[in-house]
Amino acid sequence: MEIWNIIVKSNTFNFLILLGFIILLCKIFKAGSLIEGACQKIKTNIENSDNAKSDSEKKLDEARKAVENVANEVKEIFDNAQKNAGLMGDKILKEADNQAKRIFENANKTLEQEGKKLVLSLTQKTALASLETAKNHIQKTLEEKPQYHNDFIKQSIDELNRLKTDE
Amino acid sequence: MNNTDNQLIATRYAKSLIGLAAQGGLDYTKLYQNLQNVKEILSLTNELFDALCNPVISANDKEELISCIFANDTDETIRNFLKLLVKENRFNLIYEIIKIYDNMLDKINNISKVEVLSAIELDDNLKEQIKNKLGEILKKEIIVNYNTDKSIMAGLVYKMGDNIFDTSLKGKLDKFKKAILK
Repeated sequence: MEIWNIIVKSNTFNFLILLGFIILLCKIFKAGSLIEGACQKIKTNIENSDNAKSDSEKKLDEARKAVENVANEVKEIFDNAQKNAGLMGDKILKEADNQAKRIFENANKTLEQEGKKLVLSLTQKTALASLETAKNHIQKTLEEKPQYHNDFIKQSIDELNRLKTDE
Repeated sequence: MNNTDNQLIATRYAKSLIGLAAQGGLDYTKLYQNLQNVKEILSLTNELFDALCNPVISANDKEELISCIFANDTDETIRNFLKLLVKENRFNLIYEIIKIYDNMLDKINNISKVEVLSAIELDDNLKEQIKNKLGEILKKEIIVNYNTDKSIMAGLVYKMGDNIFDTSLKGKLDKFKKAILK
């Protein structure tokens, strides 16, 4: 009995019972195929992870390259835009300047012409008024001193010489 | 028919009258006197001129009318000429024909008719001076017709046919005014 106790209570015995139990369990639940499946699954997952990693690395490279180009393109666009803006600005300024000059010149010309017209009109009016005054004065003088008629008549007779020269 | 055409036709008839006188049928002066008589008779009444121009009245009636009315004051040559005008429906040109004939006759006789306008009545001395000066300049015998027109203010205006030589004060002032307005 004592020996039995020693055997039952020994670790080796307990281990063997446990081993047997485990083997039994493994047989019941087909632990090998499960483990193999799990291993396979893990292996696949690892492979997928590797693929995903390499894809990600590729995408990362592409993204890096793309970002590098974007920066260049943005710089180029910005440079072009700046250049165009500069040119357009110059052109607009030049045109605005020319237009302003033209407007100024036209305004000056119009002003000058209007001034001339006004001066001419005033000169004409003044001259016509003077002529009318002179006419009235002569008329009055001729009425007061009819002997002046003879002077005009003699002058008219002398002017007949012009007919001779005209011929 | 325009005025130029009428002028040309009237000139042709006037020339034919000159030709008639040149052939010795009737001398220039008599012809002139006859035409003046025609003008005078026609001026007595417009109806006579209208009747002689009227196309509704027959040429025979018009010729009879001419024979009756102009018998005492015109030579037969002139009456025949008037009848020809009636026949050709050109009697409306009679005044123009007489005017052109007068001008042609003046040329033949080296005469120039001048109308002189003055603002006041001219004395004989001035008239003589004007006539002599015109004769000297135009180298023709001058017949001057003196008239007054106050509107010319002072000086003289000479009218020679269609030409006007204006030496009046008004003319000079008008020229000056035109120059100002140019």
